[in-house]
Amino acid sequence: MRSRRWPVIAMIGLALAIGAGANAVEQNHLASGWHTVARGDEGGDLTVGNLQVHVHGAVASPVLDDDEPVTSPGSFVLVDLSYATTDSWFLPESPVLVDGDGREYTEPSGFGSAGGVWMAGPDIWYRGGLLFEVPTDVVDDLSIEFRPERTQALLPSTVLRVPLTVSLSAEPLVLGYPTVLAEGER
Amino acid sequence: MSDRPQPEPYGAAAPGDAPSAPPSGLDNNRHRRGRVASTAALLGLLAALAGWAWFATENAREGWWTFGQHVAIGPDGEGWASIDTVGVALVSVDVATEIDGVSPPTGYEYLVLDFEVEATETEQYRSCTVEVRDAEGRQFLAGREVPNGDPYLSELMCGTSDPAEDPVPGAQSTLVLVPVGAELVSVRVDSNEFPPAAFIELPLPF
Repeated sequence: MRSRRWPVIAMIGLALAIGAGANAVEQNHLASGWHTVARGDEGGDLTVGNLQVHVHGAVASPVLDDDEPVTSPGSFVLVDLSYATTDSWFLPESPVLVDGDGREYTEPSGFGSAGGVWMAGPDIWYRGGLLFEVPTDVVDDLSIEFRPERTQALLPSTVLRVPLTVSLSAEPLVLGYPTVLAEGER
Repeated sequence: MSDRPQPEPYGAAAPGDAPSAPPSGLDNNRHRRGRVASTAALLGLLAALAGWAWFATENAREGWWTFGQHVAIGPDGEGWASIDTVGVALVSVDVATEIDGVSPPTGYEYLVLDFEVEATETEQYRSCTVEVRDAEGRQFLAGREVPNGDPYLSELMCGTSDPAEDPVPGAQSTLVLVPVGAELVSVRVDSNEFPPAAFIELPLPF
């Protein structure tokens, strides 16, 4: 009997193992999207996927100078950073701010393209500012999260999270367009 | 170990039995049928899993092929590379440190690419992107962070809907920002209208 039983047991085991594996992949990677979180610090060159970033810092203010002053019920946060790619020109996925409770904040709408993501080239760095709007009580506990291009949406990905040092300002924040940097500059 | 009598393995003799006779023809058939059934079930399982994997990865496979660059079309003996309705030849390559009074950022230079283009598309406007590839696999896109204006285009014109009034120019030029010292290898010309995975690749004469 044993010799007839083992192929059946092996097949059932194989089917269960593949099913469990597929379920684990679906639950941990596909359903939750971005998966692995890499950590980095301000002031250094960091790489995630095909994106190279260098975060200089951030400033928060309740007022934004958008032709005329705009006052937020919370705070505007302008993140000063540079980035380039490793391979080709492309427009990165918009980074998000994440607070200590894991809540995410995206670029506010209505302020034009200044303050949003820009195209960068392979080892061709640009420096500019990304605008966000957050509740004032989370300003001192924010990280910026970069989500690089996913060539295969079904595959798990890595994101890069950089804790921000946010300085407070009473002056209105001013948006500008990014500028290309000389070789070696950040 | 239990004292209960255990079932005998298939075809095995029980202890104390008389020496067993050779397996009968009936036993052999049952044994063979069992093995065939197991093998068929295993093959069926593997085929089902393979089919499931094939359909589950359909979008990823099609996207990888359709939107990737996998089939390079190189130049013929006269320097022309053709796909579909478009033929392109690289006529000359120059390096410039200033164009119309504009200089690149420190550490970069402009690459001036002059092409000859032949296009037989007369139904709709088409454009072709131009990228310069280096030995590290980096691809530098034409028309980015370079001076705009005649005679330089950000993309090649590869087809027209009005050949009488707006024909495809035979001579077209682009500018590409590249790092000084990059080991430039080839120029890639691509278009959404090209067949899936196909692109034109012209070696650079460096």
